[in-house]
Amino acid sequence: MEHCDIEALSAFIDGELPEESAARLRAHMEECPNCRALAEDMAALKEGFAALEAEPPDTLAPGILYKISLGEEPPRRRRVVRSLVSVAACLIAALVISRTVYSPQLDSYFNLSGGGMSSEVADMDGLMARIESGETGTDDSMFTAESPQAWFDSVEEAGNAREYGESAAAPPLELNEAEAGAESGFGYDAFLELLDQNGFTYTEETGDHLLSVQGKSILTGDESFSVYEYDSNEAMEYDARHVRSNGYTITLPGRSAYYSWILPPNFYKKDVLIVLYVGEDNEIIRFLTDNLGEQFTEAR
Amino acid sequence: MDEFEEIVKTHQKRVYNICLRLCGDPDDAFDLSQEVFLKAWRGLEGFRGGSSVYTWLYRLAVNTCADFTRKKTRRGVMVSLDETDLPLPDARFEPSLALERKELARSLEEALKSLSPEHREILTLRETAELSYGEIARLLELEEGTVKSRLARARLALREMVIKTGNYSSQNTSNKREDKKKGGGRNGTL
Repeated sequence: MEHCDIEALSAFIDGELPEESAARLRAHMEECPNCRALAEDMAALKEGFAALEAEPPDTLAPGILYKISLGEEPPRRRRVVRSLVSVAACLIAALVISRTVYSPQLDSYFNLSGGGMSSEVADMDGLMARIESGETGTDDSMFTAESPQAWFDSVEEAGNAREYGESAAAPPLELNEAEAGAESGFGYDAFLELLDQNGFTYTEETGDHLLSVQGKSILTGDESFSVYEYDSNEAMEYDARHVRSNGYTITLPGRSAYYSWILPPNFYKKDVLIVLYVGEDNEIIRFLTDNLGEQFTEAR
Repeated sequence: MDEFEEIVKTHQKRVYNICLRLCGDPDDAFDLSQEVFLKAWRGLEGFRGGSSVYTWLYRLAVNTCADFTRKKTRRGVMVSLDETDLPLPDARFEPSLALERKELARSLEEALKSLSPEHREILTLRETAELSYGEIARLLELEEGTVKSRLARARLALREMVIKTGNYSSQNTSNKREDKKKGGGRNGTL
């Protein structure tokens, strides 16, 4: 019996399971409500993909053929820089997030040649070989250059008391209580205003969860920030206390994780905002420090 | 040229949708699709069999989008410290995606953006490009077993993300699941 085998369920939904195995799985699902429910969800997701299918713009094919006829290169991408006003209007209910993480492995993964097709395919071959060579049976393991789990385990007990009790929690809390008392009202809109005032052009993107709220990824040139806005200063401080002082580990309940940054993570906070910048651009670091205060992690 | 025009017209929709799923933005998808076909045009002389035209194009699309993503964002790697293996979720008491299709449509697109690049890539190749496990394995140069495993994990991650980002009611949908399969063993334990 294919008992609660998620891979078999997934292959079954794809019609990639041999008939004999599929028959056993069907029989199992008659008796197993959990597998049946998971199969229903997987099928629903598959249908959902079909619903997302979009028609390409009418100008796509003619544009390609026209460029080929001229021997032209494709144009640079259009970038939309939103004004503060439009951003503010969009953000009334928006709490979205981006995680900005960087790893040498993934850098290699994406480090593809900008040359012609032949070299690109060759690079693709290399990249897949690299991924395969590091893979030990699970998706996550392919990127595990070191052993974060072991590392985390080793520091967990000792680190909790030290970091929460002393170095990590107390100083930032005092700083932020003072800021909160000033009722600065510094949130996402104010941060965008600062960017505007300092001459940054930027685009916004939604991202995924790094902290307990969703946030925004703000791209400016080759650099980016992740910005997390909270309902209250207390909520922001709660998350800030769960960013370890090295900036590499977040211990929020349910989303504890080690992040394999390749460049130093710089965490800043002010009022209801946490800003993460992963990088070493001095101009950006100066901008953040001048406006948000010293970072509350010590990665640098 | 006529032959290539036919290739463009035949495959533009799927290439566009692959780019759209992988980069998440219609404007970017438009530009990236153009880039894919122009690369294909430049490399056409070098393409003489070995794989079908569409898998060649899809490979170019995956490659082009990965390059674009690398330039645009500094994505990286999170190693979860809560769970190193994805456990089988207990779906009996979670929202039913099948019963919340309207909400699913709204949530899926956002949830996809939150997946890891590898999960988004393999789901796109399966669901949008509609490639078989064998074709995906050849395109990504993986074992078919790895494709099967990665797809299952990607689906679990996507399902979890959809439930998180969507407005589902666990209690209600759990009851609906019970109603739908009343007498079908929904109260049993695994």
